[in-house]
Amino acid sequence: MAARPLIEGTVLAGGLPAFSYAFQPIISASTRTIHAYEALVRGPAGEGAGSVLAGLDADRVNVLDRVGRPLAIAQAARLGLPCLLHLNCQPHSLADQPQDMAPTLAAARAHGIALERLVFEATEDQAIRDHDAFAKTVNGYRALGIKIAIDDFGAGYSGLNLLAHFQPDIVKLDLDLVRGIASHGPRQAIVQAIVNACFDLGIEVIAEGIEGIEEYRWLTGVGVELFQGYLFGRPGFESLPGASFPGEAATP
Amino acid sequence: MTLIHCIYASAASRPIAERELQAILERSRVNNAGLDITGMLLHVEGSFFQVLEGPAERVAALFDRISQDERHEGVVEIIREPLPRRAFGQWSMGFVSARPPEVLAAIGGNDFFGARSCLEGLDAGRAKKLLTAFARGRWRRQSGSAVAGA
Repeated sequence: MAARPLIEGTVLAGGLPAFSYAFQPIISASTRTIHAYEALVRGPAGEGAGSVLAGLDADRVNVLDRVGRPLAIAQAARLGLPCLLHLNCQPHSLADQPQDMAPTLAAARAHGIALERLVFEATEDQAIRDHDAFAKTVNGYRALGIKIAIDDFGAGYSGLNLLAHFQPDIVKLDLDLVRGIASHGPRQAIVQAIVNACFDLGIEVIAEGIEGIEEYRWLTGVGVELFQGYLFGRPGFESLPGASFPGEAATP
Repeated sequence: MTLIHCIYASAASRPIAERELQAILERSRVNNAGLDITGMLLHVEGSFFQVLEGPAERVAALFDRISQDERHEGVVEIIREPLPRRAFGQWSMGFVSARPPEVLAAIGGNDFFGARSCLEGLDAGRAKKLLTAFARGRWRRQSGSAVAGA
């Protein structure tokens, strides 16, 4: 299904370059369905996120963050989004300037995407700058039904300690923790501990960056249920691509 | 006022007869209806799991009172957070007393207790996930005391 490019021309007001979105599936291992898509910023012809973000100062990154999410929602809605939508959030928008989220909420309403279908992804670093302030702000979104995912979980210095202060709906395991996990003892021990804590607290775990069947098998073996990575599907530029499901170890 | 849920686990401090449990429930249902509080109580092999949902301050006050009740001990608050909507809106206090496999079957959509169970048709949220963890042995006292008449 083709989508009309979101933004014509080369430079937008506010000094932003033209940009658009790609969508990558997040799959459920047990039901073998697409559970969600993550919206990933891209250049106007599908160039990588780096080409859009390169040379942008912090202010313009924040502007892109604010105006980008509504566009990602509009595009996903136009493509017939059948599931959840993950949206990345800069700390500026999520915690410091909550009014920056107003256009995002308005876009969801305008395009008929229930707030319960939105997942805001924040990085661990954002959450640990000020646990309590972060929890307070983010819980305001959760009261609206929006889910919160902590991205790159396990990458920073906080790790599991974060969960003592704030219990998100979802954590996404840091890529480096998951890489080669099938044969790496220390990573297995750490991920097992994260998975156990998340199970006890009712937090869903997503393993992202999965490229090999061995990683997938090990992770399903310890109860990880949601996956994202090339093994299942690459991001589709201005499209909601299908996913492939590994043959074994995917049934409950 | 903000809608929240507070979910905790505890253990019976002595064997409690089902009849006594029912009496406690009847009283709490009357009280909760007046406070706009809903939720459920699960009893598994001497351990309790309770979901209280309602206006933040009333849930907090009720939980404080429940924590002081000497009929249970080892009260552990698992989670307290805002909610977009109630999971047990039809229940002034739903109640299930069962063994773990039965609870898991009911949560999994098998209508083990029939359509009038508070475990029936639960949407995939925190309460359902924590119920699953509890039924699988988390948050439960490992050597639970027997319940008279259970």
